[in-house]
Amino acid sequence: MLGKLIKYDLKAINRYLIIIHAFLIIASVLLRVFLTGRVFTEGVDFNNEKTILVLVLFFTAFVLLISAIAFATQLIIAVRFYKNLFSDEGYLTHTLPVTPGEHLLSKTISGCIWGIINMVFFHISVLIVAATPYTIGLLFHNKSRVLDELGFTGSNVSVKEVIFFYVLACLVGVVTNIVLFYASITIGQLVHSHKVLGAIAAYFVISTAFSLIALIVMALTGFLGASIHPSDSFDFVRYMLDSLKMNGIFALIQIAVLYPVTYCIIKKKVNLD
Amino acid sequence: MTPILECKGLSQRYNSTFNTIDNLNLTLERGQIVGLLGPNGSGKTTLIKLINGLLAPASGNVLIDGRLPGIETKKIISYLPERTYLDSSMKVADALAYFTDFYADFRPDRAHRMLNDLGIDINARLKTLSKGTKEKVQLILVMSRDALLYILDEPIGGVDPAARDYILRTILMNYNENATILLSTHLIQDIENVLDRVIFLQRGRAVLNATVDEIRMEQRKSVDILFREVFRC
Repeated sequence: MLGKLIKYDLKAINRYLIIIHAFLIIASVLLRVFLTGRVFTEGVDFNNEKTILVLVLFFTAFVLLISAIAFATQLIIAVRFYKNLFSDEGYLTHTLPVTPGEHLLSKTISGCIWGIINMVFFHISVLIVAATPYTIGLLFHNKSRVLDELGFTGSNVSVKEVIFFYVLACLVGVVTNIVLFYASITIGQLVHSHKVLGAIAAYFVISTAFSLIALIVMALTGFLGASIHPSDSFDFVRYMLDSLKMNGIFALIQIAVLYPVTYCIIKKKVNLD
Repeated sequence: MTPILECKGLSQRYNSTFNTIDNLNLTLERGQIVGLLGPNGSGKTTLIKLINGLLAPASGNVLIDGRLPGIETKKIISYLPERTYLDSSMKVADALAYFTDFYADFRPDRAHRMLNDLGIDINARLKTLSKGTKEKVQLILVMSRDALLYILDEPIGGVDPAARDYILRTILMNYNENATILLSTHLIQDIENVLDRVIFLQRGRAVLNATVDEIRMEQRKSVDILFREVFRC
C-alpha cells in the first residue's frame, strides 16, 4: 500500500512542481545565453561600474527566483499534506485501509523526493548561470589561490571531505524541513477553529525553540566562542566542517523528536471538521 | 455470528453539549438497512466518525465485525461522508482507479455501469461537475464496493427528489443480503419505506432501537410521525 500512496502523493504534486522547475531551468538558460555567457568571457572588465551593476541586479533577481521556487516547492508539499489529511479529502484518506504510519511515511518520502529534486535543480541552475567556459578556466588556473582564499591552505581538511558533508547536510536539511512542516501542520490542526494559523504559530514556535536549544548547546560547548574570539591556530575550514556536522546532528535530533510526535497526533488526535 | 456493529459504553464529547455520544450501547445484526435518525447535533455524525476510526472514543469502544477500528475494519466498511471527499482535480476515471487501487472489494464494472446509466462522462474532471453529480459519483463509488457495512451519512440531503429516488434505488440494488447499511438522515419520509430498523439518537443516546414493523404494529404510527413526536421542540 505504501507504494500506491507514494504514487498518488507524487501524482498530486508533480504537475505543479514540474512546471516551476522547468521555469527555473529555462530562466537559468536565458540568463546564461543573454547575460553571463556574454559577460563572463575573455577580457571582462570587473572594474567597469556598468558591468558590475548589471551583474548585481541580475544575480539579485536570480537569487530571488531560486528562493521563490524553493519556497513554492515547500508550500506545494505542505498544502498537499494539509489538504489530503486534514481537509474534506481527509474523510477518504483516513478511511483507506492503510495505517497512519504509512500515510506519514508516504508523504515524507514524496516530499523528500521533491525536496531533493529542488536541491539538485538549484545547483544545476547555478552551474548553468555561472559556470561559463571562461569562469571554469579561471577557477582551474587559479586553483591554489582559490583554495588559499577559502582557507584550505594549512588546514587538515580536504575539499572532498567538505563536499561530502555539504551534500549530506543538504539531504538532512531537506528531510528536516519536510518533517518540520508536517509537524507544524499536524500540531496546528489541533487548534480546531484556526488550523492554518495554528500551523504557522507551531512552525515559528518549534523552529525558534530548536534554534535556541542549538545556540545554548553551542555556547556551552565553547563552539560559539571559537568563532567570536578566534585564536591564532584557528582553522576556518575545520570550523565550517564542524558547524556542518553539528547542524546535521541538531537536524537529526529534530527529526527524531518531531516525526514521532506527528505520528502520534495523526494516529490519535485527528478531528476533521 | 458476530454482530456487524457493537457499541459498548461508547462516549465522546468534542463540541460542548452538541455532537456528543453519551454511554451508547448498541448492537446491529447483519443484513438490514438501518436508519440512524435524530435532529441536528444529536451525535449522528460523531457516531459515524467513531465507527470509521476518524475519532477516538473518550471511553468505551466500538467493534466492527468484532474488531476495533483499524485497517481490517476499513477494508469492510464503505463510507459515504456528507462532504465531497474526492480531490476535485481528479477525473472520474482517476477516482475509479483510486478506489480500484485501495479497495480489494471495489467492482469497477459495476461503477462503469452506473455511471453510464446516469450519463456521467468518466473523462470529466470532478471540478467541472455540479454538486449533485459529484455526490452521485461518490455514491456510485461507495456502492460499487462489496462491503459488509455501508455507512451513508446524509446521502440524499443535497439532491433533488428525482435524484433521491435514483440514489435509494442504487442503494437497494447494490448491496447483498449479508451486508448492513447504516443510513443517517433527517429526511425520514423519503427513506421510511426502505428501512428495516431505526435508531433514534438524542443527545448521544439511543432513545429508540426498533424495527420499522414493530413501530407500525405496536405504536400504529409511521416512523416520520413518531420522530416528530419524540423530537418535538
